[in-house]
Amino acid sequence: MYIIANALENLLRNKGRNILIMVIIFAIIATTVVSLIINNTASAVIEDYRTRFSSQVSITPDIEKVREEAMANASEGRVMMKVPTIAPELLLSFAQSDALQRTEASASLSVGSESLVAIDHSDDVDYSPGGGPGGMVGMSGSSRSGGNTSFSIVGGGDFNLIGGAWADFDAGTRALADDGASTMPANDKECLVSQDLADLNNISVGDTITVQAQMNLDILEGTDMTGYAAGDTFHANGLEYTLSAGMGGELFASRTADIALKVVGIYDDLKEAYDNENLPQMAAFNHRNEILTTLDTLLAARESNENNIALDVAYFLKSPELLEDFESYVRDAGLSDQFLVSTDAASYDMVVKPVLGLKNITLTFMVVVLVLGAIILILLTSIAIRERKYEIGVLRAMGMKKGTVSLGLWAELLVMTAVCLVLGIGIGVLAAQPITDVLLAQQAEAVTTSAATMGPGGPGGGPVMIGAPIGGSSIMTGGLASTQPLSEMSVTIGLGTIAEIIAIALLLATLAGLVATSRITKYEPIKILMERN
Amino acid sequence: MNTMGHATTVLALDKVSYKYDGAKSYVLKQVDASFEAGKIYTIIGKSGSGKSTLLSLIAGLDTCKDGDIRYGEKSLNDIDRDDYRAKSIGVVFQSYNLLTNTTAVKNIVLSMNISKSTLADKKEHASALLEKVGIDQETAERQVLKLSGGEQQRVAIARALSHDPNIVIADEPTGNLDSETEEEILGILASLAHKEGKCVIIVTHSKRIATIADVIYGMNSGRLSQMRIK
Repeated sequence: MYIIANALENLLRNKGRNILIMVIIFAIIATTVVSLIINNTASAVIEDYRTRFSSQVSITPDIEKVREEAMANASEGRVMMKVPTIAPELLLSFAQSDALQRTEASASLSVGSESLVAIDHSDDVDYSPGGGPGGMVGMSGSSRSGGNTSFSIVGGGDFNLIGGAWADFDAGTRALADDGASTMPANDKECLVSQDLADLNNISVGDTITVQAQMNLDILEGTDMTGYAAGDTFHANGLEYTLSAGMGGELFASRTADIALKVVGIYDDLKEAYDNENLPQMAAFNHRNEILTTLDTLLAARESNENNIALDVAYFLKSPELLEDFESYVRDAGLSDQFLVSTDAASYDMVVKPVLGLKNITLTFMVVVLVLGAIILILLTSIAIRERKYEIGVLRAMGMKKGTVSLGLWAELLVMTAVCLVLGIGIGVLAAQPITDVLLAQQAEAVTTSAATMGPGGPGGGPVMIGAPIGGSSIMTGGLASTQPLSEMSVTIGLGTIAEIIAIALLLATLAGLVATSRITKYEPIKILMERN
Repeated sequence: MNTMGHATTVLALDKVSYKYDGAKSYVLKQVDASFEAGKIYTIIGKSGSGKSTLLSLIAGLDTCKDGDIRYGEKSLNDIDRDDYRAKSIGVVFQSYNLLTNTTAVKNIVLSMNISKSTLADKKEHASALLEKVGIDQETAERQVLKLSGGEQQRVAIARALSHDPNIVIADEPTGNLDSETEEEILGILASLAHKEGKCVIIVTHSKRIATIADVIYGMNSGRLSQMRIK
């Protein structure tokens, strides 16, 4: 115990020398703190993005193969490229793969209603029947002389019936109304409506609402349509479809399906009614007109080869390395080779590159500081020990063992290190964020400049998420939110980082202590005292 | 301890020889001597005769090349010399060898700590020792650097006694002192031997010190000879 007390007294006795050593230790620790905080946060961010980007699978049409097939099937100089489709049943069956951690599936269907009035309903919008290949709900606009715009939404309606999309509730941007009656749909054919829509139409929990969906049929290749004309009826799936003509004179079949839904809850919508202000302020784009139901309810409304429902399926691998297993599974399940199965490495690279650059800079900086710092610290300690040679000689002459003398010197270094740790961690934490901001901004700018130079073909181009239609409707599989380089990173110091810093500091103190010990071992008290005397 | 008649031999030198590393000739040659408890020994001789070297060997600060030094029954080669210095022997160096950047009392407390003294109040014991050698409370709390040569000499003596050793060695203990202080120091050393039963070995040039010695050894060219027994 007296060793510690003696070490503390020695620290106060030799202020000048110890302050110099502490300045060096502090500089090393503060720099290491900043570097480790940035490095560890960057690692966490990279790992997070790696998991998210490289675990989320994209199933996209292989444009090269589609083009090759179109060229091969060209007739009379006309090349018809047809976007390949995947049946929703097949898409959903991929979720059974053991390689997947989870699957997120949701679907939407544009519907109208004879009994409900939509928010922002406009009579100028024309929901004419029809639908072509890939017949998503579409919009066309034409300018009127008065400056007004009229829209036609092909085969759609004022409302969006959405199945299986509850992410907003998880995120807190939507919540069940606090009316004591609202519950989440637990069964098929149950739904939620927005508070605004409920108010506008006097809808209460327990009411049943009916919406009409125009279901478009893919007329299979080879079907004999001889003698059919627009306005005729056509039978398929045991149902009656009405034919209409497209702009090229081709025939399309559609039917109107009534979907009755029991309102089990009303939701408060905390997000904006429109995604952005550039969108036309019309019912079809207003989130308040979204009627939320289960995925099965929506899929049940569809008959075979009907193509209106836009299915969004996101597959998440248990680990990025399982991509091959997943692809093998989906190929066996029947996925055509006209589709590519991939993870989004390009987006990952684009987003993560600045962070990776930052991580490398800080890591290099830390290694340089640690190496140089350690050398300086060892030199300073050696000099300090030489200065204290007489003191060591006296202590040894008094019978203090070499190990005890070393322990005392190490205790002094540890106390100095502990003080520097407290100061270094404090200052380092304060400095880490502004340093991160400056370095990351530089890295992001460099990546953006590089991407712009390389053009869309380069890494900056990012992935293009192509909707692979199911029966002509849109599928988004593994859509990613953004491919902008990461330009902000909130750094935090975790327990792991603190432990690493303490370990590094202890290692430095021990290294310096070992140098001291090695010198002390060489000192014989009689020689020291004789030199002195 | 060996007994020779009624006296107790605490330290015995048996044909001890020593030469410095790289040197051709021996500084100490076949030295035989024995030191008993309760007696004052002086070793006198010219400068360079090997007195201080002999003292270093006895103090356990160095090892002899030939021969043996026994503390009690055991050879110094067979015991932990750090422990020997810390507990069994007290050395008053010619140049005091105190820790100069701390107080007198802390020098003594540190010596007690090194010897693993079990005394409950070490500081009180240190103050008492200092008082015994004529250092008052106020002086005891002053930094060693600010003490006079005589005061430092007294502190060195107090430190040598702090762990109650059987042997006290002093190298020119009065070399830097005025005659009045010399008298006081010699009184303390005599008291240690004759009243407290310590074996006191003094290396000196001083004829005055020789007068208080029970046994006088003469050192000449590395050879030790007994010159007088009281």
